[in-house]
Amino acid sequence: MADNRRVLLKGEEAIVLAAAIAGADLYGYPITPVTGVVEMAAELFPKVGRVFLQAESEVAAANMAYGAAAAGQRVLCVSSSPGVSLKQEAISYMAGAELPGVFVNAMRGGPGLGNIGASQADYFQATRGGGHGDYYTPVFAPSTVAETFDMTLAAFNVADRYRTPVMVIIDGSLAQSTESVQVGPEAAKMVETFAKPWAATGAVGRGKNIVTSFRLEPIEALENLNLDLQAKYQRIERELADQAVGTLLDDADLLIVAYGTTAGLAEAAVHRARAAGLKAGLLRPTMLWPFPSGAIRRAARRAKAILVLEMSAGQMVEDVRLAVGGAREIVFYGRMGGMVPDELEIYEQIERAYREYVTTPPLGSPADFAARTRMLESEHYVRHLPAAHPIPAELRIRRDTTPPAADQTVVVDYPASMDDAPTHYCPGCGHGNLHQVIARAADELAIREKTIMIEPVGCSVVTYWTFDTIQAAHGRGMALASAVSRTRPDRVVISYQGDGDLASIGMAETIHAASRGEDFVLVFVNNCIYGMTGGQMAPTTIPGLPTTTCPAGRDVLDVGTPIDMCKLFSQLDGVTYLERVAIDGPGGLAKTSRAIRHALKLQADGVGGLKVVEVLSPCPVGWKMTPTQAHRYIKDVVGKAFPLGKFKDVSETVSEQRPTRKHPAPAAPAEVFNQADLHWVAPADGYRKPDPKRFTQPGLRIAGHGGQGIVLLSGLLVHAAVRTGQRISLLPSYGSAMRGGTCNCQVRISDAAIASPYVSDPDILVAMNQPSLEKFGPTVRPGGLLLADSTLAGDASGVKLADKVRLVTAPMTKIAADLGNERMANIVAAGVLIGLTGLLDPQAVRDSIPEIFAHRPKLAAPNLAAFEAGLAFAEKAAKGKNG
Amino acid sequence: MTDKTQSPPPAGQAQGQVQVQFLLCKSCGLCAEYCPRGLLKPATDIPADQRTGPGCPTMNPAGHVVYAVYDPEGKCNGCGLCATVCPEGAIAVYRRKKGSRP
Repeated sequence: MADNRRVLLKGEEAIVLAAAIAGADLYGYPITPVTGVVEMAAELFPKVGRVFLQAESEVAAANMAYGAAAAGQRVLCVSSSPGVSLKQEAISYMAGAELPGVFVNAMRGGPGLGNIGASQADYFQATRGGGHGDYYTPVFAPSTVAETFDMTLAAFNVADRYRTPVMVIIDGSLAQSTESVQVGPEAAKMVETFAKPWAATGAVGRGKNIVTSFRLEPIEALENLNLDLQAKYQRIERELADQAVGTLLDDADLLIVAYGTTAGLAEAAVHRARAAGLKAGLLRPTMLWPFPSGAIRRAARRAKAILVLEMSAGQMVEDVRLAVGGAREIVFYGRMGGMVPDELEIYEQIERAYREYVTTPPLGSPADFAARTRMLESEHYVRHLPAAHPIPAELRIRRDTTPPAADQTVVVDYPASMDDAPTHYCPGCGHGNLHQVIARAADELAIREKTIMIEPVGCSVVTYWTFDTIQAAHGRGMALASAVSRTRPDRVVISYQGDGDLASIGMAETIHAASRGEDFVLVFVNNCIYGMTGGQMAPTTIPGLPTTTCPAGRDVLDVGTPIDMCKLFSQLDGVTYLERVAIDGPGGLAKTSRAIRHALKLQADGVGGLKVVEVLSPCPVGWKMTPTQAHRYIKDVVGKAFPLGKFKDVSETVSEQRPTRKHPAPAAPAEVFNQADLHWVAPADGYRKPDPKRFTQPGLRIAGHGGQGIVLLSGLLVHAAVRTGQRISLLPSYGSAMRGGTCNCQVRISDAAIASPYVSDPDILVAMNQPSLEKFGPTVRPGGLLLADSTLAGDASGVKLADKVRLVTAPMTKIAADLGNERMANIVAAGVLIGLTGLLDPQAVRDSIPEIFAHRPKLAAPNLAAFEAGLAFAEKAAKGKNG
Repeated sequence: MTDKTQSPPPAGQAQGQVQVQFLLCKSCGLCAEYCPRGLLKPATDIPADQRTGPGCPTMNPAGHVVYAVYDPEGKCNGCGLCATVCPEGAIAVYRRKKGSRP
């Protein structure tokens, strides 16, 4: 039997559920208004074989996603505007490295910290790439909770198919609103799976994979990458063209274009306009890049003008202008700073635009209009890009030593784990030595195929190993390595980082990965200087060493003393092996080899925790010394400032060892639904439907103060409505309510699809306290009902009500107190409301109460009694009125 | 493009054979610094006819004065330190097997 149950699903729950079904891991950082995402993932993911990790920042979370994606794992990142700005670094890197990943932005009011109100001001950021570089990300723009679920699932497919980060942009109201959604394990059929032969999973039986956005040589290489990206974007523009939904477009004189929350409100306003005889129609883009320009041109042929609605100062309107190229008048209306335009306000804009541009079109003669319409037939944007530059196949000098003769043994040869390119390092640079040390250790331990190398930004950005390699953003190596090791725990993951990368820009990622005791090897190359940028002061520059930004040497009184990373690491329990060595001659190199080999062996043997080898390494050019002087300088000076030796080794105390983490096996979709803490409702037959003459899509606002159970009351009503087979939306005020302020919910109940959870002019207001009565009383639509708690909201004298609004007061708090608990006033209110209006079959509410209190069964009976008391009051009131 | 031009035959009775790939040499001098017997030198310091390997230039195309082995007395015992310290991995060292001494 088919499961006809509905889930009362919140927008943010839809995202987590979709990610779990799609098989994604989540690297998160809490931010309002989507903190529910990390909370739900923390609860659900461990039960269904998915990885959830709370990162130390949005920067780290996004870079963890970058690392996991590079290792072949599906990843989700969810944040809100300021957090998404921080994630743009990783998104740009992922675009350049062609990595899939899904990023959700619950847009909030900005700029800056702004507020948590719903907004669409990040349209430019989302549709224009967002970060640095010439790239786009496909952008989904759902407008309902059900769409949020579907589009998040679809986003994973699009991300994998095109190897690109994908954005899903919503806002706080969509994240926080609840809808009745019919969804179940069959949603897994929407999930497509893709082979990822390009991923850094360990070079087993194949050449190395390098995941990188870095192209240095030859000079044309980066333009070629860009040409490949642009070809891909053109393919996406073709294959995902014109993703939009139309409402009443066939005869529309006024075309409205809006997306997301604004589109839901616009749809409701369009119906209002039609009822008033205005021929308005809505085109709602469901993807914002590629922008549905063709759909807009087609819809505009019939219309005389276009009204664009956004919660911004006008961002998408630019794309609409580009789409119609001046062929139609365009009117823009936008709200900003977290303000949501209400349905009435939008209706007024429709009316105004209709009056100004449709009824009296300033478009000249009919011939002129026809000529303009012809403009809409043509594609008027052609992009010419050059062909890719041919690159000579063989630019590299190959290493080619004569093999040993029959009577010779090899003392030292080039290690197999190094590739055959000559390095770009300066003469005497320690990187070259250290590369060979790592390669030899990998050769000796036979772990070349198991090794995944994370490379930093710095001199060592170019890969010379034959390991699978992922190139990190500056400072984020530890974040990437954390996620890569969690994704591929059987691999030997190495993060290779310099001092500026590790101890300056990446210090937060460094300390937190060490504190978590991530299971990988950190090779920290400390040469006391920013090498690649030309020798500037580093956090480890020692006094007395001149650099280009401290020509007289480090002034410790001004910029502090150099940071001793081993001292920091030694305080963190997550670090299980810690040693400092130096490349200062054959002896130092021998010790370096031993330390590196030991760290790699611990990792290969499955010993958990962070294994750190700090290597004091010469930078003769940066230090302005000869290579031999640089070696002596390390012996005499640097090695004194940063004492060598072993600080910690868990292998010496077996009891302190723990195994490396495991990547869990993903649970089946059915199990995801079993384990998720979802609000299920089973519709049943036999309930009386409300009188359709009295209610078509009734909208309610239920308001009071925190602690009065406003959300519970709203939840009970929508639960009961879904039980009778109707659809619902529920939008709570979010943010301040949870901190003890006023609280209100907007509720809509309908037989048909609900355009928007916003209720601008409610049919029914339930005011549980005086401020709510005063604030929302005037919004009740003419002929509506205002139900107030006479105990706490008894004075309606100062409230200006619309025509024919029926005001009913009931001592709900008092009735509840008489029943023994005044906190049941909300359920009394439900009884009064149902009794007065017949909004729902009372039996549906009776049947719903035990389900709502399933977690606290003892409360069901008293709340049933409270509901009956409310019903009885309404009945008595009705009789009194009649008599 | 290969750089076998400097693959020297074992010099005289030397135990070790050192191959410097001169195209890769960056003239850092660390091999010379750490060779216990002082057998590696800038090619400019070695008489042209005595540089190991025929055709060994003094300067490679990258503009570095290359280092080469100067071991007319066959002193190299193949300890491998020069190769160990070479940041570029430009040196390979082989040693005669025991008992194969001519």
